Formats: sequence, structure tokens, C-alpha cells
Amino acid sequence: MADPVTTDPLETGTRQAAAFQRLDTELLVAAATALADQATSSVNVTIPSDRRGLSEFGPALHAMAKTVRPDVEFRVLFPSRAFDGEVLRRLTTERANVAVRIAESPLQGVVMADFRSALLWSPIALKGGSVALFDKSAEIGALGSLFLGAWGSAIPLTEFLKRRELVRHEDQRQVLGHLRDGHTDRVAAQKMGISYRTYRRRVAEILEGLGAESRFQAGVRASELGLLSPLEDAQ
Amino acid sequence: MTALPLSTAAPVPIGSPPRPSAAPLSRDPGPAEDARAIVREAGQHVSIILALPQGTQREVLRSLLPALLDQVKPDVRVRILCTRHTYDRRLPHTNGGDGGGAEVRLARLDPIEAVMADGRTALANLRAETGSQIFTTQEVLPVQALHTLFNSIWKRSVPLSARPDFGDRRRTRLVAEILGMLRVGATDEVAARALSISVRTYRRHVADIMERLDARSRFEAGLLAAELDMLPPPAERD
Repeated sequence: MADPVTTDPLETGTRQAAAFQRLDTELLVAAATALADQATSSVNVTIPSDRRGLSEFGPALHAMAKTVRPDVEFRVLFPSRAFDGEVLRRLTTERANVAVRIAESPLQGVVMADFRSALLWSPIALKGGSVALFDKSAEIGALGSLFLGAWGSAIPLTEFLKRRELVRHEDQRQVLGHLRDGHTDRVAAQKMGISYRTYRRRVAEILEGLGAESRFQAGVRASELGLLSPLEDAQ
Repeated sequence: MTALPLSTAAPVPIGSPPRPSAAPLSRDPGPAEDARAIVREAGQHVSIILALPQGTQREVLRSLLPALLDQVKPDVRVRILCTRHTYDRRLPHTNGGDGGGAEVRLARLDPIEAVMADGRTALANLRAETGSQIFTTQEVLPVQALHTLFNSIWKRSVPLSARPDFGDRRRTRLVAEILGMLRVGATDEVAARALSISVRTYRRHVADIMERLDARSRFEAGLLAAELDMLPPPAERD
């Protein structure tokens, strides 16, 4: 059978692990598809954070996108560190209405159908049995409740892409830093080794990109987009 | 390759069968005792969610909180997520194990109460149509999923201690009005006229707000005011 899964090069001497991976992924795809097929109102998914997680969970995600009925809400919460433009592009071609949001902290693989049944998956949590299916209403209720909380505070994909665009270049990040740190435009320009006029133009571009008319507004938008998080924990 | 038992569309149980979910942590099966045991046995961190509406007889953890926090070992980090409705001014001053007090953040949450320790055990209490549903679990996958979702909400919520207090109500209202002006991008001249104060006075107020927010620029003031959820909702345009 063709290997449908692993794109990550496996370390040498892990053939057994490779077999495990394939087995897990196949089961994962089948179970996720069955779950997605049952849903009548919503399918809610969180993507596991690590690279291996996405390479194994990805096939299940694509299979679900094709299975979930068109009138069923399909929400996918991506951790930012697993962000993958290619996966998302594929996802949106497979299905017209898919809501994607980006969370800033690591997540585990979860699929919930109608908040009534769930599939939980982790590449590291358990050996050999890292998928579990649930239909215990209390546990799924708790998961659903926290999922909605995390969903509500996550960044919609379009905003996330905008923010990536805004901080793509090092000098854009530097300008944002100078704006925050309260350096005068002259001092900031000097520090960046560019002319005052060029610096002012960069600031104007950033304000325009943020849709802001003042620097205070730009700060508000930067916060909404999660560009600079002054209150982030050390964790 | 092994044939897989997947001929039907029904979900198949995969991997090790889930352990019984209500695995009692102590001989006393009561949720209060479960919660105490969870907190007592925590070695690194305790995460608590308080989001059941006040006055419901179903809430368990909030009334239990002082007793719970007394059980926390030293050096264990305690984080509490609550909503506007469940926030209690005494919360930040409760014992947080490391002597620094529990960290408290405000978030929008569905009605639920939960306590988790070290990403290993969890107790959740939620409102259901058929009355309250309380469970305690040590199953790895659901506990870790709950834990990562907690972290995700935590990261995007507001630390209460960081929000400055502007004292009396009149001043608080003025600050809110000024923040509203800043929010819509009004120039200082326009804002001052709208508030019937001189531009100089307006600028003094803005400088004072910045100082209290510990902001180095108006940009950072906007950043912080937004992070701290201090801004009025965006005004309607057009």
C-alpha cells in the first residue's frame, strides 16, 4: 500500500515507528471521517501543534473536509506554530465554508461532532494507543465549552494573514518596536539608519496597513491582530 | 498490512480502551473531596476555571476556593480564569501557593467550572439540561486537551492586576471618554472640543492615562488599553 502519510523524513532505525505511524494515520482518517459524517450541526477541530502532529492529522483533516455535509459548520482551530499555508489552501478548495482561526498556544488533536461525540489524538500522549473515541457527554461538554472559549479568543485566519503580511520584513517589525517604545521619529530613524522622511513613510504605511488614523488606533489594531503582546507570559 | 476493522461507517474504538472516567481519587467520591485531592497532589501547576453563573446551586468550586487554595503546595503556580460575573475582588489576594498569590484573568467563557493539575487530572462541573454534570478524570487525552484549551484561552485573556484604577467614578468616566476619543482616532483638538476642555488639559489627561498604563507612546497606550479590555466598543461609522 502506498504511504499516504509521512512527509517527515524518519530517522534511521525507526521502521517500527513508521509502521505505527501509518497504522495510526489510517485509523485516524477512518475514525475522523466516520465522526464527521455523523455531524448534523457542527464539526469542531483543533490541530495538534508539533510538525509530526500535522503530518499525521492532516490526512484526517482533508478527509473530513470532504465528508462534512455542506450545511454543517466546520470550524478548525490551528495553533500558530503549526500554521501551514499549503494545508489551508487545500482545505479551502476542498470545502467552501470552513472557518479557520489561529490560536497562539499549542493544541492537541481534537475532533468534536455536534459536541456529542469526540475523537482525541496525540502523537506523544500514549504509546500505540494515541487515539481515543468518546461519547461521554460530560467530558465532551467540558471540551466543547473550553473549545468555544479558545475559539472566541483566537484570531480569524484573514486577520492572521494580514498580520503576517504586516510584519514580514524586519524593518516593519523594527518600526512597530519604535512606535511602542516611544522613540521620537528622529531617534527611531537614526537607530534604523534611514532618513527621517523614509521612517515617516514606513510609519504611514504601517498605519495604512492597520487601517488606523492615529498611532493610538494603530496600537489598538496591533493588539487585536496580536502583533505585539506586551502582556504575554514568560511561558 | 493488517486488515483494519473499518468496513462500517460507525466509529471504532481505537487504541487502549478508555479507562473508567470517574476514577475516584479518594475513598470519598464527593466532588469537593476530588477537587481537594487534585489540588493537593499538584506538583507544578493548578488551573481553575470559574464560569458558572452566580447563585446557581450547581457551583461547587467557587465556594470551595479558599479551602482549595489552602491545599496548594508551595511553588505551585495557580491560575484562575473567571468571567466578569464570577470575578470576585478578593480573588487576586487569595493564597497562590508560591506566596505571590493566584494569577487571575478575565475571559469570555461558557458556563463551566473546572480544576486541573499538572495536565494530569481534571474535575469539571458543567451546566447541562439534565442538571449538573460533574466528573473527575485522569485519562491522558481529555485532560491534556482540556489543558491545552485552557492555555489557549489564558494566553489571550486579561491579567486583572495590570488594569489601572483611576479612583473615583467621575474620573473613571472621563478616562473612558478620552479612551473613546483616542479609539476613534480623533485629533486632540477635536477630542478636546467634544469634551469641552482645553487642548492642553486634554493632553495632560492623555499623558496621565499613559503614565498609569506605563505606556511609553500613544501607540503603546493603544496596545495596552486594548489588551486590558479598557476600550469602549468601536463607534458606529457612517
